[in-house]
Amino acid sequence: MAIKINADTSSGLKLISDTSGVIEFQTAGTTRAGVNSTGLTGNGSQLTGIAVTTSASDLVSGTLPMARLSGTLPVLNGSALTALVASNIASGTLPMARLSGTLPALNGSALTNLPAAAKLSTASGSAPSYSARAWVSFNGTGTPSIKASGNVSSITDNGTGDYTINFATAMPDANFAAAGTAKSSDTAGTRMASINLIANATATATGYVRINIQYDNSGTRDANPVTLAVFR
Amino acid sequence: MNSRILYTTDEGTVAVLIPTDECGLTVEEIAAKDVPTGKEYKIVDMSELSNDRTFRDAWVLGDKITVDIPKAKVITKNKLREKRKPLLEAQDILFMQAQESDTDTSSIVTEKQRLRDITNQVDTMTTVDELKGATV
Repeated sequence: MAIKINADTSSGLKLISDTSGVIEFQTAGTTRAGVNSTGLTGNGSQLTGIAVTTSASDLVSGTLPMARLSGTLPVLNGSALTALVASNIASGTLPMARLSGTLPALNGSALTNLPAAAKLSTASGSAPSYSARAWVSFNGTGTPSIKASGNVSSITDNGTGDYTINFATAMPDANFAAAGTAKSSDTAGTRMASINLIANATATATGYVRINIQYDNSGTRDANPVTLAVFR
Repeated sequence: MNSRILYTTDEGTVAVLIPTDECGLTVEEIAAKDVPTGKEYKIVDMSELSNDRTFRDAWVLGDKITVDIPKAKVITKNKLREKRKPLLEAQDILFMQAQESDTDTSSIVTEKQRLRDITNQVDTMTTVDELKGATV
């Protein structure tokens, strides 16, 4: 029940009174609005020009449509933002302070413009460094065997004190330098071993270097170890 | 790598090719790369090779490696000559000292002749063991 104030289309103002504490406003017997113990009731769709003073904190459900949001983010603390997609970063420069001091484990094959190292970092002075392009240490006595090597595919035991060192990857040309040592098996220590390029045109080629070993001025001798490094 | 690649060199000796493990190639790939073009080769286990290199330059490759006796004789004579050289030089000094002191030189002359003939023993030898037993 309610107190009803009806603007009747035939009788004019009609009043119905009771004790409900509720009042309804009608036109032609149809309730258009009302007031009850909690406030206004009825369909407010026809209301216009009303100043909204309701707090946004009163919004408790539903989803704000995108059109109701500003295209510019307000100045907010974004520390709680999650699920951000880095690929959406389209411009600007990350400040160094935002980069880790440790490089991530990445494939560096595409790095370009790397500065050429003129010398090893451990070298003092300004003279450039040239590292060995191949090296080997082997036992040339008994059943010859290779102790360790770099860029060497094999050695050939051609005979007593006569060895060919074959490179895994060839030198750019045959104008390389070879330096080596050989230890004499003369237990008396009275004869020194020398290491020589063999004395013919096949001593060096891009793919190998052939050496022999002598004790003093004697014939060729086996030695252990024999070491050789090649520079180009 | 325990494999070895064997082939005969242009000089007629046996080349023993020792592959490395570090290059990442198979023994067949290394043979194709490092054996001179056109050379026939065979791949064997290193245990099949002798570690006695006394007559290394006389090795001959057949079904297995053998020692060429004529070449081994030459090697043996050269080794005897090398060992004989300081002994002869020592006898030369003794000979000159004996002459200076006008003492008998016959034993010195005998020893020098023995040393000069030291390689003759090799001529009648026919086996590797005999050749290895040749002494000054």
